[in-house]
Amino acid sequence: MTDAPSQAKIETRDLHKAFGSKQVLRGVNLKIMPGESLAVIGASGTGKSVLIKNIIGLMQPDSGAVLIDGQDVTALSGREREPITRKFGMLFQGAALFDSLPVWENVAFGLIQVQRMARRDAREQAVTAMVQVGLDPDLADRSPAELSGGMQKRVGLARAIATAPEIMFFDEPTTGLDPIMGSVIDNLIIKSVRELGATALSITHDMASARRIADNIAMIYDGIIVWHGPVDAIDESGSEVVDQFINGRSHGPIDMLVAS
Amino acid sequence: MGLLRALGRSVINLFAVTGRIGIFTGNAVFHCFSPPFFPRLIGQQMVEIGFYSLPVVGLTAIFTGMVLALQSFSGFGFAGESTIANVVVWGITRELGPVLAGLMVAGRIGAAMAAEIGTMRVTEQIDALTTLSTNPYKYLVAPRLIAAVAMMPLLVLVADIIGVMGGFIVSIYDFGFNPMTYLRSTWDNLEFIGFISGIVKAAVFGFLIALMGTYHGYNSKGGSQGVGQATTNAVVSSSILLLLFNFIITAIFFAT
Ligand SMILES: Nc1ncnc2c1ncn2[C@@H]1O[C@H](COP(=O)(O)OP(=O)(O)OP(=O)(O)O)[C@@H](O)[C@H]1O
Ligand SMILES: [Mg+2]
Repeated sequence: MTDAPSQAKIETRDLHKAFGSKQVLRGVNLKIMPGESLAVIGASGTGKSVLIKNIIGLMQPDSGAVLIDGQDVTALSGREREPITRKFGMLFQGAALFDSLPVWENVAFGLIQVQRMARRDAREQAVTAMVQVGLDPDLADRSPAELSGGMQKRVGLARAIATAPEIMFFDEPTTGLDPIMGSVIDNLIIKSVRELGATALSITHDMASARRIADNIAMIYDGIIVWHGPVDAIDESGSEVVDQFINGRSHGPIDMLVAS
Repeated sequence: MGLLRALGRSVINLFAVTGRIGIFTGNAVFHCFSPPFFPRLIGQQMVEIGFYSLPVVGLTAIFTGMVLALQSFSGFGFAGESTIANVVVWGITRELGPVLAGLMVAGRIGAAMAAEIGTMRVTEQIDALTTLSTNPYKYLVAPRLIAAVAMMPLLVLVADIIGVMGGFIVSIYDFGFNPMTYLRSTWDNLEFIGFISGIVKAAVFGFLIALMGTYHGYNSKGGSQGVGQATTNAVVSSSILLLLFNFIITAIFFAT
């Protein structure tokens, strides 16, 4: 073992998670290397968001382990977990903006509360981040409830990357955006990962976006990772499930359970 | 057999809920005393609880004081200034000021806390706080507890004053009492221990209201229906606990 691969940034080992009798994850094994951008694809309701929440620690897996920088963080609680959480930035599928705070304070939240930056400086930095995600600086003092869904998504993205975290999680970053804004966001994700040297795990249904932002793609189906490989190889994956998904065919091994 | 099982289940549920509330309370109180603190949020909550509750607490107090004076005048027949002033100041400071102000604040603030935090729970804002390395107990629960415990005594102090004023107004304008004599007997009849017991009650009630509001909000689930349920539970449980603790505190202060 002379050329052992370097330490994985994120690793999951045989992750299981069920809700009641519904088995969502049945042994997910993933490895994401430092600086890698991984896109996780999969049909709706297959547990992609649940997977991210287990990695971040918002949910406890029933069994299996999550390792961050080689450290087993599965059973860490409260105070012990804090240094790990500080490495994370997360964009939620539903944006999850704080509706008691104006837009700029949402973006600047981590800067003010965690990095203890002065409010004035934090605001300046937040406005810069807003411009980066294509938001008008005039929106800074608006309440999140006054924004469109796509705008909220971009505020959520700006909030996730404002503190320049080492590891970024994006849950459907381009869903609800028009194609042009979608590719602006894709470029921003690429830039954040490249320039900051961050590691990224993105969930997406959008194959065009996945091909742009990711180095590797993993497909989750029936609670496990059925395929994991470089973006270029996805068209020759040799997996019927992957083929059906990336070509959007309604017939195939993935049964969507709709009356036809 | 079915009855026994149902009974057993509800007893177990009761213990489970008590345990959960106990753990929540422990966490919440711990985070009230451990840094970082959020003075800006505490200030906001103090304004929300203290200042914006003034109208409803003031109105409740003045009508209660007035009705106390009316009732004791009709009840005691030809009672003089001293008796009526005594009944009013005694009833308001010991019982009616803190209890009625507490119930009004439970409806206003307990419900608002449960609804706000419950909405944050179901829209994943609480999860978002965690990913931003901010402990939700510190950011959401502790400021509300601190503000409620600090503001309720002040509100009750105001309620005491306004309630006594209500009795005063009725006595002067309806019964034609001498204002100076009435005020003097009010002052003479005001007992320190009664007043203090009311203020202690107020602080405890503030704690109970904020605790139930944040607990039910924090643990709500299942969309807007769940938030509605949390709001109802917060108001009902804090009102019942408030009356229970009112009895306990009264017993501790006066039952010997
Ligand atoms: N808190 C929860 N309680 C109960 N069941 C849950 C919970 N969260 C998720 N689930 C269930 O887990 C399954 C996977 O949900 P998840 O949100 O991970 O799907 P997803 O892959 O992200 O789908 P989408 O692409 O539509 O966002 C669903 O069947 C969902 O009902
Ligand atoms: Mg999802």
